[in-house]
Amino acid sequence: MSAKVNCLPVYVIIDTSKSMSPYESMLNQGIESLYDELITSPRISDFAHVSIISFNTDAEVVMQMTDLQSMNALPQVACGGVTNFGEAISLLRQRIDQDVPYLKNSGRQVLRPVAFLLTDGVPTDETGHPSEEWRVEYTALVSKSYESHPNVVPFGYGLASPQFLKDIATIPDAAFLAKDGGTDSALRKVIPALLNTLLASAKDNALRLPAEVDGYIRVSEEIL
Amino acid sequence: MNGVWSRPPAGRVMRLNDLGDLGEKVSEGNGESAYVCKLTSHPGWLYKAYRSSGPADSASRLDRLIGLPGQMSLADKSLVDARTSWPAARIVDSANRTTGVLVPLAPEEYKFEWTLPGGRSRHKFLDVDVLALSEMKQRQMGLPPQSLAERIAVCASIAAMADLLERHRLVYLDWSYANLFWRPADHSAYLIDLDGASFGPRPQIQSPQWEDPHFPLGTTAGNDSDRYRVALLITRCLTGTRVYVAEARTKLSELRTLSAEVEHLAELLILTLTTAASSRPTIATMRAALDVADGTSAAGQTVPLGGVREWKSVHDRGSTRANPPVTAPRVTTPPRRATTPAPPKPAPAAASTTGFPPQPPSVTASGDAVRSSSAINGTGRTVQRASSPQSPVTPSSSASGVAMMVMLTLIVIVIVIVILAIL
Repeated sequence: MSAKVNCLPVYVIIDTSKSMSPYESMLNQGIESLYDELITSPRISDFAHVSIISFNTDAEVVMQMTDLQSMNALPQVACGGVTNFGEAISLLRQRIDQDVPYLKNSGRQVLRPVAFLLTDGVPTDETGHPSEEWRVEYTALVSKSYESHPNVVPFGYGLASPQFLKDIATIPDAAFLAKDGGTDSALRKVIPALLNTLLASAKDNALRLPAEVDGYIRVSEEIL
Repeated sequence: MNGVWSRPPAGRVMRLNDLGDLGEKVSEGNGESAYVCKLTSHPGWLYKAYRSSGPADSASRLDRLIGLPGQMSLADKSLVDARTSWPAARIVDSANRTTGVLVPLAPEEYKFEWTLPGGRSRHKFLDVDVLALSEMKQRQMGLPPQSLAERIAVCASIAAMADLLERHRLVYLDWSYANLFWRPADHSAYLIDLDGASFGPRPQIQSPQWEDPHFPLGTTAGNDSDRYRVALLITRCLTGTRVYVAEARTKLSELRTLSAEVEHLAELLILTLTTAASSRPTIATMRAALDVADGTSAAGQTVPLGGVREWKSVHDRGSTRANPPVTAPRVTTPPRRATTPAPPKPAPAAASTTGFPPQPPSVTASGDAVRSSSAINGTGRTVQRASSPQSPVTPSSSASGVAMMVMLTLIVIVIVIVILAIL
């Protein structure tokens, strides 16, 4: 009897708040290149089952964790609104609750999900004021008492808060901050870094994070 | 212009500074390499930079590996140039420490123009990752669906390279979906990442989905393990069945009814996957079986991989074909294995450029519709040959039908005469 094959639920959570408006087309290009690589590389998509979530004042699923080939066209994200991180957490949990049983039912051994967060700011409430309300729900999401608790790997650029990135990283040293803060350069480098991460993970059949990400530093190196 | 082993830009050991500008990175953090980048000063060449530690025995082993094609026959050297990214030079820093290797960039002919949702296109190397898929999946992805004959031709090309390595006592171990490109146009394959090959056994490498049951991680593996992995790769490419070895073996068993040659090939592969490590057939044996099957399997014959016999057209999503798939949309030229370099041929247009259907093609319940009939092969052995129930009647089958009718009529007449005589 064959052992079950591992699969990794992967969520890419993209901050599309108003401050990202100048980079909207770059974000969409990044999503396209991620999708293109997945659809033309079964060895990655067999293992890494990817879903993309965008969030600003609200959160929505850009790409579901279903058969990639069933998509006729990729939705385009639009930037605007605030950085309501709490909405992203709620949606992420909903999706995990649907996706993990689906993958299990397909006969695969499901690894702990991983969520890559791409953000350029600090969390706010729905009115745009800095807020800590997300922490309660976030703590519950990553708590071991939640069976499908995901790993969270943040990438920050622009005005992203190093402390926030450090706070939400579930793996020691796995919070990345753009070196020069330039969103343009940081965005160009983050998608290849994600793809390399997925490629290395698929090769080893387990989550593999990069030792270094071009253009980024590990937050823990900078914050005591 | 792509680089080849026999025409290095300089000597077999080069200074890092002499490489000029390091251009676009094509991969990063993969295995023992820190990154691989194109060299703008040396078009057609890649610099593969090792992580700081580097392979333990890198200098002496690499020099021997880099020099090996110089001792090969002309035929083998041609194969090295045409079908492999054999490392051409060792790269050292100012302190003479090995920093990486210079390898040829794979020829552009191994790239494929994909049509993606929204009409976008992407030009990228076609690896065997997408050969090891069912015809249905290939069609969905906008690839020319590969018949069994075409798959056999590509696998024969893979086996030719594996055979070359085995004959020169090189252990590769890294057989996987990522390290081989292929061309639908001439069914040739191209092997990359050869710089890790060793002279003789070495510690087994981690390769999930490709685990050799007799040589797990932590053991020392040699050509026996290469034989297993090559057989597994070929099995997956022939059957379009990924991941589970047992499932791929079952599909392989189903192919055995097609012809004596395919039966022999399938049995050889199953033996390699199941027997004791020391009893695994050599890659030369596997190659010979593929060559025979390549020469005799009917090109373009639709083989029901995965039991699929009917398809929803990707051109007309609302209709289902009334007939089984025919050979028209795919390459029908008998695939030829090209172990010696052939002049580049113009790539045919992709069979399907319509993008992606919203739903997977439907599968009908007629997946078992393969009938067998007995035939005598050249050695007098009775073999099973498959034919589609809807296949057109050929002149020879028509003639044999008439002969059968005449025989039956004569038998009936004789019986009637005998009965009348008795009465």
